[in-house]
Amino acid sequence: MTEKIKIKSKNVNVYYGQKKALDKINLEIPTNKVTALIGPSGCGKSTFLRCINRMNDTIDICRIEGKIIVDEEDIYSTEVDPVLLRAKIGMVFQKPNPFPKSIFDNVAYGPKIHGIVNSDDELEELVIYSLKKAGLFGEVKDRLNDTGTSLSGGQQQRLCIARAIAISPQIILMDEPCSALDPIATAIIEELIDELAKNFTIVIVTHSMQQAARVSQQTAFFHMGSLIEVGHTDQIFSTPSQKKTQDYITGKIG
Amino acid sequence: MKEHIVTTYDEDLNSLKSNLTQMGLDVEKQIFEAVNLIKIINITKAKEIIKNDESIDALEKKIRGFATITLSKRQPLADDLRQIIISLKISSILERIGDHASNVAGRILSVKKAPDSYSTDSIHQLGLLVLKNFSTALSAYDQGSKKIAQSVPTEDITINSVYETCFREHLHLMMEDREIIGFCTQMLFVAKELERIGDLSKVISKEVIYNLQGTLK
Ligand SMILES: Nc1ncnc2c1ncn2[C@@H]1O[C@H](COP(=O)(O)OP(=O)(O)OP(=O)(O)O)[C@@H](O)[C@H]1O
Ligand SMILES: [Mg+2]
Repeated sequence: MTEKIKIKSKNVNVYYGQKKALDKINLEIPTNKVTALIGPSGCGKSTFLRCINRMNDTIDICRIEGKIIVDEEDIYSTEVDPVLLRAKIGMVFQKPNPFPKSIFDNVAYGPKIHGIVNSDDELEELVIYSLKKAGLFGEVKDRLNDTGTSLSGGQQQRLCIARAIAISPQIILMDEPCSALDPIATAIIEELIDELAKNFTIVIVTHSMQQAARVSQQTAFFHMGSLIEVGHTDQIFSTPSQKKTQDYITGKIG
Repeated sequence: MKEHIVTTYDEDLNSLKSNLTQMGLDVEKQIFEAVNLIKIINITKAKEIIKNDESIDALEKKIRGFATITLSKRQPLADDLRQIIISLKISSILERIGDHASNVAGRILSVKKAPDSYSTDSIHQLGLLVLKNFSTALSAYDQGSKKIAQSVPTEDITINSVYETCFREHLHLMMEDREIIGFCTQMLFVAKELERIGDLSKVISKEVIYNLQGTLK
């Protein structure tokens, strides 16, 4: 791909204790595009995603080798503050995980701790903007003080997306964001991903091949800790070049 | 060949393929019978061919319905998806070839009998070449063979020149004997139908090649 590159992984190995979870991953993620990570359960997709915002730092037994370069800077270098890094990178998890706070405070929390806003008015504006971007505002505008957990699953997921957007990140990582959602809520999130990709670099892990084909421009196929194939999404799903990829996406064994 | 984890998926794809193969064989038989009619005019046979075309149309509809259900049920990707798309394309080409075979029978029905002076050899010869090239295109699909598929367009060049020869020969016949102008005109239409079958066989072979280009190296 000839696009601008936002994230570059260079020979990344990840170990959990003695066990190697990722083996020599070299992957370039283009700016303001959606990259889908696919592959069988346990192949290392979430592990790779967590490398990008240094979430693996929080796991004691986890050790990383190689480089992850975001905007020309190695994020594992000693000068990088993981907290600041995470302000640049939003993350949405498989299960919606709103804080036990009001809808408003769920979104306001990040901007407050990262000191993004200067006044209450500005904060309110940002919260509304983020809820609108996440396609949730219309449904919650009259109940911003209700707890986040009082929302439906699909609404909670969009609340988490609003929370991720509120810190105005450059990158959004999504780990199976639609796995617990119905087709309508899924469509709303996919529409949102298309919209967000105009301004953000998105990396999404999904187990739905059709979803990967719909929302992403680049697809990377992982298998047992290795990156088997990466390419334009259209190509990966119509004419993959590796047999392992083809067998996986078409559901074959033997 | 690897199998799908879901065995009913394999069953669906296999049954799609076997329906298409069946349709191909049925159309091949129709062409064979129609070409035979040129040599030995047989009214009963001609009517039979026209009647049989209905079951070919029905097979096309069946394949389309089946492909649609498989697409919505399995949401196939990569080679599976191509297999379904080519089934749809080839079945629609086969349906048109079936029409041309049936049209040959229709023309023969309307001439009823050849004039004594007339020799059917050249158009019959054209028919045999067309039938053979159609069978080649079918086996290219059946065996997924690029090599076989590539021989079809080459052979079609020969068919076209045989068609041209037939055309000129009939012009001469008509100039020499005004009595057989009506008959010869019908036979020229027959030749045209055959030439169209030749073109469509070529289209099948191109579909096969296109389909194979998407497969793994
Ligand atoms: N915290 C951890 N401690 C020890 N091993 C771990 C940990 N997290 C992941 N692993 C191991 O690393 C490998 C990769 O796991 P990972 O969660 O990245 O897979 P995944 O591709 O996201 O799978 P899934 O699709 O099931 O979410 C697995 O073998 C897993 O058991
Ligand atoms: Mg995971």
